[in-house]
This record gives sequence, structure tokens and C-alpha cells, in this order.
Amino acid sequence: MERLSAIRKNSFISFLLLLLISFDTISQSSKTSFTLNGYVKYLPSYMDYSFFDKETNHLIHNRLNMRGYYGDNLSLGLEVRNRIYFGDVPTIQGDDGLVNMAFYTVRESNFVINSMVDRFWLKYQKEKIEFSIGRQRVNWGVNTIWNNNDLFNAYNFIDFDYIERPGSDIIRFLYTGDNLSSFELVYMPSKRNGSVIAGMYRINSFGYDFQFLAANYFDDIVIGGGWAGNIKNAGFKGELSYFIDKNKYKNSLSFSSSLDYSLKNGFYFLGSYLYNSNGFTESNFLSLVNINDNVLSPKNLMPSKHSYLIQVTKPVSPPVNVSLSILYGQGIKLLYISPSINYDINSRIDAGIIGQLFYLDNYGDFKNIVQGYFLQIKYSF
Amino acid sequence: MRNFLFILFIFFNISSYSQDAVSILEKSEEKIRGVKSSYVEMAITIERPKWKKEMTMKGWSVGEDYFSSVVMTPVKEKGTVFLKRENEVWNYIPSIERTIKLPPSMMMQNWMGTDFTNDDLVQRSSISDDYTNTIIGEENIEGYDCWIIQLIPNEDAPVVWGKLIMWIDKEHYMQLKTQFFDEYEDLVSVMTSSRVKDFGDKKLPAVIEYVPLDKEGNKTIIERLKWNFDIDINQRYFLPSYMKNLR
Repeated sequence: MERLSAIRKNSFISFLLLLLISFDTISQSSKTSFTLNGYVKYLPSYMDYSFFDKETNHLIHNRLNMRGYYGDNLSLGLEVRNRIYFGDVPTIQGDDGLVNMAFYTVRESNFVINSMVDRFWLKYQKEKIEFSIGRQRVNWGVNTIWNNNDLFNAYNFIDFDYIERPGSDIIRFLYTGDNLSSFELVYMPSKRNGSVIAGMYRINSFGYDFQFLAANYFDDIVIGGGWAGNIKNAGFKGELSYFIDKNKYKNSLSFSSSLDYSLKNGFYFLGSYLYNSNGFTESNFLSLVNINDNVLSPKNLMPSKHSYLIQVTKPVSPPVNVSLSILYGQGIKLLYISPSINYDINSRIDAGIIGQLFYLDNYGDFKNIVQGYFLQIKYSF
Repeated sequence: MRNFLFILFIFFNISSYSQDAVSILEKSEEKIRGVKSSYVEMAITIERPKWKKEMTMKGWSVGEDYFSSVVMTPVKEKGTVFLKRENEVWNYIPSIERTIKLPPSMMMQNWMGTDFTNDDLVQRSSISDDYTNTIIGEENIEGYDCWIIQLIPNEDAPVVWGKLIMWIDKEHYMQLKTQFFDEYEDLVSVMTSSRVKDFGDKKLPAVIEYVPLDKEGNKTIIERLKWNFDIDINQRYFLPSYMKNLR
């Protein structure tokens, strides 16, 4: 059986290679082109848990972004994420998609090589119409930190190593109308929890971007909307989604809003609030498991009912950027502090240091439970 | 009555003079933007005492209200798009595949580490609408006879500067030098143009150097590699939903 799956995986890789080679061959002709970009990252980390042993691991993370363009209207995207872990290897999330495109080359207790195809799509685009099929990112968020409208791929700002987020296996249709209006329809078949069909209508008026969505989303019907505009010179954005349970068990409301402002000297301030009707209002030790979870649901973006976030960033000089994020989950008394510094060494290399400190109330005892420190050296090509 | 005539004379004189300044500026702006549209490919160099960065980008514009640009290099920023439509600005970040609407306060921030602000890049403010303009003198710069024009921002104008002084050559309407003053009327930075060459049938400076005076060793240099005017540009290039496709 294992051998069979290995053959299947190998034939899949051969298929991809064949596809790339054929694209490369076609690219000799006039209107076809192919691009390959990506990065290699070295990311050692040190995690100090108050309730587990300390962990150290080293991650070499490579990403390949490939694009093929055939004429003006047809394009193909393929993106692969390769990770080599050694040391205390964390749990690696499997492929939830329709087709399993993740596999291990090595899987030892303290040495793992894992690869995943997280984008693989074909897109046809002509004038007002865009049609795409395959594994892709549907990014429906307009708010800054929390995205209650992002049904297909809620963004987890704590996971700095995977800002690209996984893709969804979907069929997508986009029609662009007049005055910045557009309509988007997405269908996601699913093997396990029923399929998703979702529509979004966007419009721009009074200097605001507005969006409205409706979806048949697993066990729920979702209606929602979002906006991005400004109050005087500050940015003012927000999103709301209401989940109506088809089994009449429990409806949920998920809402967030944010204000951001930049000073002339480069200081950037962001303040955001999140309401999650499914959140806890009392101490709950399990909440940390939820916050670090890779699979975020727009229905449950934070374990607390009321969450607040403040972020300050400042470019100290053009190559050096520092930032501080402070998040507080009211009721469950979760405090998250993350300072970071990033150095743009040259046109290809960046280096950064990131700290992640979690404090939590454990039945009346408010203390630091996790300290994580990360170094990140990234080479882009 | 004589007083009245005198006032009338001064008024007319000033107004006709300032009308001249406005038409000079409009002509020189039209020269850069084209009557209808423009397309530019440029190389940008950011210089700091111990650091240097180079980037290349493409830009499209229609009139003064529509502008979009995409970063070609460095590779880590490739595909980053800025779009301006009238008073609204969006930024597309390819790594997270997201279009972000920028708040007006962000316009005063430096654009991608350069000495320019976002506002300079997208030219959200209009030289002829947002400023009161007067000719204050004449001077020869590198062989070109220039008018010296003073620009004072109107109240409520979305403008970063307290005052601008611009040198525009009388023959080709090229903006050869600009001094930027803050709200306290202190000279903050100077922009000089050089390497005049032919772009199609237009004479324009290929290189702009922008030097902030309060930071020693800082400089941003823009070189236009290609500059076309009044070409057909598809309207979708100025749509937020199309930003991800610009390349």
C-alpha cells in the first residue's frame, strides 16, 4: 500500500515536472512566458513552556512560486512549500484538500522532510471575466488583523512563517462591473463536511469599499459584509459574519473592526477589536491550544469572546523595522506580547528576530506559560 | 477713484501673472503625464550612508486621477502594486494575496524606504488645484532659461508641504528643480533633474535626484528607462480587482 502511494506521489511529481517542462518549451514561442520565484528560509526556534519540556528546532523552509502565461488570457500557477525540520519537530498539518498534495520524504522522530503543493490553478481572464479552477487562495478579508469574512482561509497573524496560507480546492468566477463593483462566486467541493458555495458582491461608494457575502458553508448559512474606508486621516475597516446553523443548534456572530494611523515620522499604530459569540468569558486553560491552531475558522477566530489588539511599528532606518503587538483576550485573561525586529540586509536577504510571549490565567494564577524566540534568515530568488 | 484704479491694476496684474503660473504648471504637468496617458519604466536607487537599495518598476497613468504601478525588482517585492483612483489608494501585497486600502495618513509615509512619500508616488495632490501659484523670478539652470514659480498649498488641500519652489524651463516646460519647504517655511529637501533626452517627440530629464537636507548621505535617484505618452491603456489596469494581475 505504501509502495502504491509512493508510486502515486511520484507520478504526480512527474506530471508536475512534465507540465513545467512543456510550459518551458512553449515559452520559446512569442506570447508565452514562465517565471520561477521563491525563497529559502532558515528558522531556528526556541520554545520554553512552563508545563512541558523546552523545545529547540531548526527549520529550513523553501517556497517555489511558478507562473506560466499563455497569451494574454491564460495563466497557470504552481506553488510548493518544502520544509526540513530537525530537533523537536512540531506537528505538521496535513492536506485537507480534495486531492492530497502533501507528502513526507523523511519522517523520523527528530528529522522530517515535508512537501506540500499549496497552489495549483489554471486561470482564464478576459476583460470583465475571470475564471479559475484548482487549488488557490480566496482572500476575502478587508480588515487588518481579524478577517471574519475570510471563509476559505482565515488569516492567523500569529503564524508569521506561513503568511501565504494554504489554498482551497475550488472553482471561482469573478465578474467586474462598473464603478468598482464586482461579483465573485466560489464553489468548493468537499469529501467530508459537505460542499461550500459562496458569493460576494463588492461596491465602492463614499470613499469606502463595501462587500456583502452569502454562503452555504458546511453546517451553516452565512451572511455577512465588510468595509474599508477612513475617518479623517485614519483607516477604518471592519467585517461581520453571521452563521445560521442549519441544524438549529446554535447561531454564531463574528465581528471585528480596526483603526490605523501613520505619523509623518514613520510610526504606525493599529488598534483592533474582535467579538466572537463562541468565545469563552472565563479562564480556560485549553484556550492556548486554540490560539496556536493552524486551522482557524472565521466562526472562531479567538478563544475569547472579546479580544483587543494594539500594534505599533516603526522603521528605524530604511533597512530596519521594529514592531510590537499586544493582544488581550478578555475573560480568559490571555495576554500575548510579540516584539520583532527585521533587517533588510540587501535586495535578496532579510533577517529578523521574533519573540512570542503568552501569559494565561490558570484558575486564578496569571503567569507566563510559553516563551518562543525565533530567528529568521530569508534568501529570496 | 485713483486708489480704486490702482487696486484694480494690482489685482489684474497679479491675477494675470498667477494665471500664467497656473498655465505654465499645467503645461509642464501635461508634459509628464501626457495629454491622455503615460507609461513609464524606471529604476530607483535609495542611498544611505552605509546602505543602498535598487529597484525597478513599471507605471501607468491616465490623466492625473488614475495611476498604477508594479514593482519588478527586487524579487522579494516583485508584484507589489500601488493603485490610485482620484482620492483613494490601494496596495496589493502578493505574498498574502491581499489588496489593502490605504488610509490617508499613510500617504505621508515614505514609499518603500525611499525619500519620497506615498503621496509623491501616486501624486494624489494636484499641482494646479491644490496650490496657489505665482511666478517669483527667472534663472538659468544648466543652459535652460527657467521661470521660478512658488506654490503655496490651499487650505484643506491634502498636501504634505508648506511651500514649493519650482524651476520650469521656458522652452520645453521641464521641471528642472524643486525645493520643498515644511510648514515652518524651512527648506527640507531639493529635487534636481538631469540628463535631458528625447522620449518620443518630447524632451524630458531622464534622471531625478531627491535629497533630504536634514539627513546627510541620504538620496533617492529615479531614472526613467522607458517613457511613452498617449498610448492606449486598458481601463482594468486601474481596478482594485485587477491589481493581482499586473506584471
